Amino acid sequence: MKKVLELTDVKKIYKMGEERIAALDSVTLDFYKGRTYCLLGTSGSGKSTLLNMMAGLERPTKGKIVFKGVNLEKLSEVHLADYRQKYIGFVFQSYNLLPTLTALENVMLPLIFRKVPKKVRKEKAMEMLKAVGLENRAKHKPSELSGGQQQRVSIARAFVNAPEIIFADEPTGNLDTKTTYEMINLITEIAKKNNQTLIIVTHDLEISEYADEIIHIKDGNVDKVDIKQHEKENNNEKTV
Amino acid sequence: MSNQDLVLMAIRNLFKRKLRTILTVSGVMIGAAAIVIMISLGIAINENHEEMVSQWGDIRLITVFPPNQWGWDDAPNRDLKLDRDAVEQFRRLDGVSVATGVIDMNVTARAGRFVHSWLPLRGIEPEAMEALGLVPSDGRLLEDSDRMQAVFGIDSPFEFRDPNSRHWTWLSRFNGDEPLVDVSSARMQFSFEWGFGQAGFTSSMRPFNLTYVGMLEEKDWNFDRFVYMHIDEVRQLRIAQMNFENQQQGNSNPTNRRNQAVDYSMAYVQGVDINAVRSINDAIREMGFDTSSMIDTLDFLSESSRDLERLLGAIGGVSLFIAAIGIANTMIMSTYERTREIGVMKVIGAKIKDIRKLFLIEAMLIGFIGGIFGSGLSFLVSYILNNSQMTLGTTGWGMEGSSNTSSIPLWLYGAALIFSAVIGLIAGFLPARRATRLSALSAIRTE
Repeated sequence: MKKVLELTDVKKIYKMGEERIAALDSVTLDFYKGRTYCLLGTSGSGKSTLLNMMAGLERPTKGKIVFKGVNLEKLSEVHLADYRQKYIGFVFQSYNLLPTLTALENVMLPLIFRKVPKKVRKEKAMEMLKAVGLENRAKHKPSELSGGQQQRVSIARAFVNAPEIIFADEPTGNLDTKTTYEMINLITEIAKKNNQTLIIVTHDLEISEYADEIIHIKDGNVDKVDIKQHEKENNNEKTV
Repeated sequence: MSNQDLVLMAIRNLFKRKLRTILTVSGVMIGAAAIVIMISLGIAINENHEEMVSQWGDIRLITVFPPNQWGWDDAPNRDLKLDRDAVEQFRRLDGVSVATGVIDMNVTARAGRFVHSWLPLRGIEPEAMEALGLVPSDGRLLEDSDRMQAVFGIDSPFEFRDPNSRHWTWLSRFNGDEPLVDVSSARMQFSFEWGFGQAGFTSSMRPFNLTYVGMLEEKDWNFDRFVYMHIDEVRQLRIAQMNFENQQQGNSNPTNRRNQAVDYSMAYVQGVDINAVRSINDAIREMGFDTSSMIDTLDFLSESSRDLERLLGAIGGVSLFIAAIGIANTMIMSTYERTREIGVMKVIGAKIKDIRKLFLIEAMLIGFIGGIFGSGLSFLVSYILNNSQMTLGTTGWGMEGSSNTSSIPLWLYGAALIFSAVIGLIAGFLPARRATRLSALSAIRTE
């Protein structure tokens, strides 16, 4: 199986005045193509920091993050933007749709940044909206959509670029239970179908059940990694 | 992001915050209109000066006088002569369209019982007449074969008077008077003798015949009062006049002054445009000749109104500066308000230069739209100023009634648009920098 992201001894220290707080102590992890991961931990465990660093939003204080042979920690801001544009999709807890744009335009946005021609990006975005079941809401502004619908738009936006890795940061934090499962089903299905790596950050144990691997984060370290039984055998075979 | 997408998004963002955009645009509009109006007042002053000066004489024309005309002994260049060679030198200067010498003399003319006792006779190259802008209103201009044929300046007939009349009236074209003599049909003679034509005067020379061939249209006072004849003929007449006078006074040494008579009384040099006139004027003075040109007058007037223009420009500049601060303020506010939006855009793949461009374009659009409305407003204000009775005192010189208070040439509108857009762009730098430096992380964390 192909490795997409490789973290080696990643450390992140925040300076708060005189005090130094280690958000991440030493994290070493490998992520493979097409698998679904869950970073599970309580708030303040360092899981979001880890996600931000993998998404190229923050730099580690120490350690290496390698994406397809490229060291992310050494990239310039411009190249990091490039990396996010081409290889990363992002689903936020609070959807973060642009209020001035319609659902369709929000989904198109990553393609606009990539200078995809008008016709192509419209087709792709419409396709993606269909995949999340919102084709009849394409012309609606975010304020005219429910929370679940907004999150669907946000999911469509994350996938429209056909990224290698999709990061989901507490994607269901603002949703009710029923919608939560719909959403997790949707996101894992699409990722599986397209053989994309999905990394979900959550504190919800039930959500983590959808993942192939559950990475427990505690006090800035990887506490343990649960690999699902049927997957585990598979995985063991391959790593042996 | 493609530029088209950037502009569309910028327009959408401005439209989203309509009221604020309108207010900021209004600021720019007033600033741009202020600067345009202030500049237009200055332009109008200069235009009025030009108009005024051109009523006094052809602005492209330089009159060159012989050096040391007034006979001061200590004047330099006593050997310098205003002759054929000198005029040829003038002609070779850059930007000269015409250079020609003239010979002026005064004679006494008679038409029936009417006498013009100080008729200014001007010898001119026939082919130079048209080039100098002399246009016949009747008959024709001079031709090379003409001898005693004469073309009359429009004011020249008014000086014929009845010497026996006890009522001395001053006739003028400007009062609507008619000349006492119709020069186009009257039989005219002239003589060097001052008393010619008076009752009881006995002539000691044979008078010359003066033959009318044409009348000129109005040009200016430098030209209107003359009667024009072929320069070769006038040169001969001038020599004859000097000899006659010498003879009358018993002076037996005519040759000395004879040479002087061959030189020109003055020369006219015309430049292709105002700038050429300036440099030609300087060059001829450099040679040692005295010159007179309306450019001197115009420059003097411009100089005297320059301070006023600077003050006006500064007032306009201050208004536009305030408008620029308004733009910067609006855009900075916008970065605070859109922190989250900017962060999201960065996370989902917007380049730093996209964000920067977006803010710069928004600021520039505010400036540009303000410039458009400002141009419209200044057009309106200019119209009102010109159609009300308000006049701006210039430098205390009398002004003609037709002049405008405010004058906006087309380029000024264009300049206002570009200038407003550039001001917007400059005002946008700081906010754009702030936007690009926003951390994507803290932006998306803002709840």
